[in-house]
Amino acid sequence: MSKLNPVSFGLSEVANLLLQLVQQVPGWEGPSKTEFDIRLRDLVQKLEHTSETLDTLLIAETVAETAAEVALL
Amino acid sequence: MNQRNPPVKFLVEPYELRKASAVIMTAIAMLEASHATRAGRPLTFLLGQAMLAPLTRDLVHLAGACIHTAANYESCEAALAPGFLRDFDRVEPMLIKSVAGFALSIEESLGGGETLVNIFNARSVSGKAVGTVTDVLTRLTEAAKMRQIGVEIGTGAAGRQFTVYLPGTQNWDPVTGHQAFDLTSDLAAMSAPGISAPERATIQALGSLGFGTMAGDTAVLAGYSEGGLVAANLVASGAVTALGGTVAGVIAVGSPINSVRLPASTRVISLEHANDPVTKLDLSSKPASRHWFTQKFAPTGLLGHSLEGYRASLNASGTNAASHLNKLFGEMRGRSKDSVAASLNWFEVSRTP
Repeated sequence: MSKLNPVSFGLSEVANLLLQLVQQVPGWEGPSKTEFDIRLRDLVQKLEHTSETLDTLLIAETVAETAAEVALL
Repeated sequence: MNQRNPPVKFLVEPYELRKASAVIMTAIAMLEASHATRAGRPLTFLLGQAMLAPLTRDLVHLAGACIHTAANYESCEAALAPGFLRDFDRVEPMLIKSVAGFALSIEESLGGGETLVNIFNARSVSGKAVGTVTDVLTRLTEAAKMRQIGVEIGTGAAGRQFTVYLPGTQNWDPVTGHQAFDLTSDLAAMSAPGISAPERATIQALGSLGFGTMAGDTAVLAGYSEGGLVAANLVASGAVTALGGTVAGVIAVGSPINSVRLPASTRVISLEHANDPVTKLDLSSKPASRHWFTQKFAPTGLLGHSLEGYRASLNASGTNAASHLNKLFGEMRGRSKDSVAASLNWFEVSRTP
């Protein structure tokens, strides 16, 4: 199991945690593992994409809010 | 040309599969916690909610598939590939499981977490098989005092009847020690079936006594508090039936078992005080099964969770309630409450660091 930091984590940490499952489930081979890996990698990819989108949006929203506050001053 | 495909290896350790599902549940809890930090940015928060919801749902499905696969593995690995993702909806998201999995992962990050487990048959005595629910609570009290798992073997009309007695949590230290019934196994049992040390110890104990090796072997799993949850998990994971015998039923005393997905045919007797907070940890109500009977007792004591309190409530519940419970117990065991000879085996359980 990964060494999690319970205080600070984000979507990328979640993606890393999940990716370890692809590599570190000992003694599991066969078609079911292949199917599991495919689904999990797909989910991780979507998670990373979501993470990028939300990070960008968060920055934009923060900038817009700050700009609005400055304009009010 | 007649080419032969290379042989496909089918290997899996169901424990690892269930652990994988707990990791996925932990990831979901992390996602939820991470997303909550965006609450101060309403636009990002709303968009994030819309984007993360389907991903969370898929993750829950994947975790469910792991549990389902582990439960079925022994009997039908060959059919797993096409069926792996078919039965997702059989496992629904349950917040408490995510939280428990998350807490367990934190324990593991601190060097604790679940471990291997050893059992030792400390004592075998002869006597009479339990005949009433009150007798079961007496045995559970013995199990709690000795901090051991008890397995009684009696003989019924159809075959051998095993009754397992599982104590409650013995150690609340967040640091994992040698005691198997501890906070670590509590969290593991809450997160998913098949993970906790007491579940694995019970399977070892039943296996060492040859459960499932003779036709007609049946087992009643009885437990107090954590022990009741362990009992229900053992049925949900399919670990007991994988030994070859059948499950006659579960008796849970002060245990949060409502969210455990048991086969509809499983007979359950659950005893709950109205003021027992432990029974509410599952955040779920009693499943709609005609085989599931929950006996609610009036509030008692400060917390309503002590085993002594349950014994007192059962004794004070009146003839009708006690008769009904004993009737259900008799139906569970498939025979009347007439005493039969039995052997009782007590197992010490310890973690392997």
